[in-house]
Amino acid sequence: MPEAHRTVGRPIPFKGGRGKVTGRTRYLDDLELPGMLHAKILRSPHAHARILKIDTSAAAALEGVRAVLTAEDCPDTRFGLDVADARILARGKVRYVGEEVAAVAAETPEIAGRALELIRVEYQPLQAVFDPQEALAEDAPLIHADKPGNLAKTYQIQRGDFEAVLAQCDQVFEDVFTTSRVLPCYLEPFGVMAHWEPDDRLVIHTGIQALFQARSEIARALGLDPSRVVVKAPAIGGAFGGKIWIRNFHPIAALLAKKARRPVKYVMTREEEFLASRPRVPARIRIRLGFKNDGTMLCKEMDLITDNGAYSWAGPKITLNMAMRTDCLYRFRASRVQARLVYTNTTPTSGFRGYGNPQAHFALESMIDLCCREMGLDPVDVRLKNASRQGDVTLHGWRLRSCGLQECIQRAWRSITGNRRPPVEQDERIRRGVGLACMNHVSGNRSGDNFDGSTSLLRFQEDGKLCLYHGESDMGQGASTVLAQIAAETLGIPVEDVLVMPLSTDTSPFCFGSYSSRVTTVAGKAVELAAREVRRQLLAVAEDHLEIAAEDLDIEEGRIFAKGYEQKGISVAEACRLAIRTRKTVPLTAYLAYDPPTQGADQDFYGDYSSAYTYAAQAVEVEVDTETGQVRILRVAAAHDVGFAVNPLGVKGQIYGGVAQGGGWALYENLAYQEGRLLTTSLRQYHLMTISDMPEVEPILVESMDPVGPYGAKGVGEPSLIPMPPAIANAIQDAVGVRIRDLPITSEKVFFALHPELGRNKP
Amino acid sequence: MSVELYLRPGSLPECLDHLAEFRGKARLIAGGTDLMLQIRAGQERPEVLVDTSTIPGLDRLEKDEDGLVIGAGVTHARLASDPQVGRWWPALARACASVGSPQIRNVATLAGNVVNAQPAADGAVALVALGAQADIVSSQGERRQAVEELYAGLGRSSLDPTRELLQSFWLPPCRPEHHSAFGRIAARNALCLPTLNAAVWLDTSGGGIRSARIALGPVADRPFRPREAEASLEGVALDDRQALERAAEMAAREARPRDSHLRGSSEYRRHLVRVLVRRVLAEAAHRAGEGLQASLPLGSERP
Repeated sequence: MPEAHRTVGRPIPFKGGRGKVTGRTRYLDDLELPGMLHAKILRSPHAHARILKIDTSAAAALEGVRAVLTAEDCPDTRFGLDVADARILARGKVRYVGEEVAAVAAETPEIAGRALELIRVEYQPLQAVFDPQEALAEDAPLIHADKPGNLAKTYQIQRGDFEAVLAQCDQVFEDVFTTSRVLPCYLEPFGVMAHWEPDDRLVIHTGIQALFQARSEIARALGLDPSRVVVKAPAIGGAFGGKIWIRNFHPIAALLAKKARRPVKYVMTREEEFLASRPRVPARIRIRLGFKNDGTMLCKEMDLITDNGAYSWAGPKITLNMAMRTDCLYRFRASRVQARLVYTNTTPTSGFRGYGNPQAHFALESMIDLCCREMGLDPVDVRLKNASRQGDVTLHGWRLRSCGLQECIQRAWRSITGNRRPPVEQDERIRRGVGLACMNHVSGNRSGDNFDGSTSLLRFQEDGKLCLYHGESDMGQGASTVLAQIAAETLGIPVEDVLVMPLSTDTSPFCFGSYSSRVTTVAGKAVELAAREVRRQLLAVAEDHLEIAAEDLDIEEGRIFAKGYEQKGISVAEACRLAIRTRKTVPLTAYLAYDPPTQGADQDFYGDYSSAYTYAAQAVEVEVDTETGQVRILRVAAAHDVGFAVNPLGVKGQIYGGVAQGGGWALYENLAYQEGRLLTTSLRQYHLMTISDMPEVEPILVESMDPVGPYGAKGVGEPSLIPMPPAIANAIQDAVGVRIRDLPITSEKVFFALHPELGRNKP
Repeated sequence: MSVELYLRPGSLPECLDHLAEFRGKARLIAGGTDLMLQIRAGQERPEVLVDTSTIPGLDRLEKDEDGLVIGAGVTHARLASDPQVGRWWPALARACASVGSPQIRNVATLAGNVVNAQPAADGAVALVALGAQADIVSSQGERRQAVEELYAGLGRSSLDPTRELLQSFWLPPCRPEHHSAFGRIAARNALCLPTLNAAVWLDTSGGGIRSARIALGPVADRPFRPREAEASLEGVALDDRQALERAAEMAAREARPRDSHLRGSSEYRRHLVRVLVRRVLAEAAHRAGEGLQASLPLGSERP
């Protein structure tokens, strides 16, 4: 790290951290408006049923009820993302248990709850289908009349002459892997507060990751112009990709507020979060890998069946990521993929940390270890040999301007294999093993000619404090702190002097939002460039005042001074006062839109579409109790090429969190259903990793200094989760020789893999 | 229906008067860690809650030559950290340390754990193995009943918390030749109901095992005693590993775990019964062989 940096590269505690730990931070549920009503939503008890009749008269007549809403009261719009098939409230049919059927706004949450019990809905149950493979069968019930075969989206992508490359392979292996339904389980349940201004503008308060996307989606659902909608974000208590996109409750609350002519707040209960939030897209992945005998990877083929649930949110894009991204982890010569995104009568799936990429990694990174065992090769050596490198142009046209994958592999492996615990203990009852998995991800994501950058507005106040406006949500990942550090570094002012402004689509400059691990990279660059412009204006004022040429001036710790003659200078505060309060009339403001120098993916999804690509390797040591099948993660060495760590404290936090969330997914977490009925209805049954299950984690920061990102930085938000499940599966096989191909890796699965003679399906 | 009245009686008679007055519409509340969830979920709809934490004497935890008395207000955290309990009734201390999280153990009472009548309740499983009795009072009088007999079905206690108060538990005196152990298997290390738990108590007077009690959960609608396995241990030498293994296999045959989407298949859990019973038997036998209670200073047996 260059010595010259005073703010970036330092472990600075997060802005707003004190408010959170002392309980003073105000989240959505802490907000109230005069006359505010409370909303509750009636949800379908059926997985698939025709709605024959809805009678809301008794609910509407209940004392304290101010508005009742059914599909009849909603505009007949369809919304969603690539495939717009969602409606505000169910119309004619319900397609999953938990689907929104009606809504009530009342003076208290209790009255609203009682009103729901008074709504009479007559359903005619229909045959439902829960498994994507069954939904593909010819005689499967059709979930949407206009979606034959229950197909929401299909992709077929090929790179290179696949058949020719396949013919060159010495060995080809094939296997199938599946991943489960898991939830982001953010701490703060999702919700909204909606009200209408006297000029008929709709104001939405919601802790969402992508404000401007939310504005356009809410406007589309309601049939409004986007500028008639204002979206404001209070503090957000975690999101993990589960709060990128709007939910049905956003337009529902807006319509209730309109009907009742009062502000309306709706916050999901934890039970509703489990029933009706958006799980990770489950996948069945058939994978084929072709090798030369020396371990050179030549080609990769995948056949994906992914579960969209009943409506399309981010499923199409997630399936696309799953289909392609891992092709760029190694130097494959050819790849081919077929993917089918399938409707089922289950809760719609959508974005969750990794956005499809973790599912594909589970398959590929598990498969590499399996193949290496067959070929008698060391899987770590094979990964090193085939790893993508800086300067590569990958199969999909990505230009790797920075890539520290090989260093990540070497350092993670060295760390985990040093200080190993004994491989066998207690009469061989306890066995320990180590495993490694790699990962690649993006820092942004451009399709076609779309904007993929960020906009920043910096404005000095007369007292030398800087207001930083941006539109990228801070849901706990530290965006505000990182952007403030970049502004402070570039301007030479203390980070405490940067005030990060609250987010509102009325005042924040246009931004895409906090997803694709893009904020540090693209918003950070926008802030850096805007800060350079404000610095130029500031130095011009100082030049005028000090009568020293701007190029001979520097700024450090809030003071402008002459290089080599530091006594001569002026404080930033004084320069700001001169600029703003005197006849100089210098704005000390920069409003700047930055777009990274990438080409974007074309119609065939080919092209360099991310400002930077991140690479990592995580190695784990596990312990298996061979009598019970219980697995314990002992240690994790997580080596991440983050380009440059703007805030090492934040990067390490992301790594600890990714280990916990990825480890929990691998071993414990699972939304369990019986005939479409959810069994894991609360945090009591849905097991996240707890602090007492956490392994020892060694974060290893590899700094490849990306030439495009601000100060060399790349994203790290999603990556730390991605390699956990395959690394754990690989370590389990190293420990006890069994391979689990479907998540989660429960004790029972490990046990029966170890003792097949005891299982129900005895061999 | 929501709770309309919250009462804090200053004495046991006052508490019993409240229960009598509201005729089944009032329920006792101690830590509330189960009851409040049940009220929120609409499974329990009491109109009145009567808080037992203000009743003097319910927090007593007393060991003397007549045994151990555990007042209804004693929390899991207190039992988990009490040096006397840890030394003489390690199965109970370990079981109490396994429940929930520190926050839950700090308020949840052992009595509440028993009245809630879940077959997997760690504390109740330990109490059954230790031969605990419950002292119950109501406006009609007092009675003493074995904890094992307080079950009327899955999640249903034979004790009526709208009329009766479980005042205290009594454990028979622990002699140096009495030894116990507790173990559990769960999906994760904290805040997790057990896939399986087991407690054993051994009377080793005379050198070998004179008699044994084994309790298991959740493999039935209440803490389960595998009687054949217990009987097979009578007269067995402490270091007879084969006999302990045989008893564990017997327990696995006697237990009737059900298939559960959340806890695992019956085959798997039946297998775990064998593993866990063997482990807790071995631990208790090891304590007996080493004379652990006598040799260790107070407090060193804390879980």
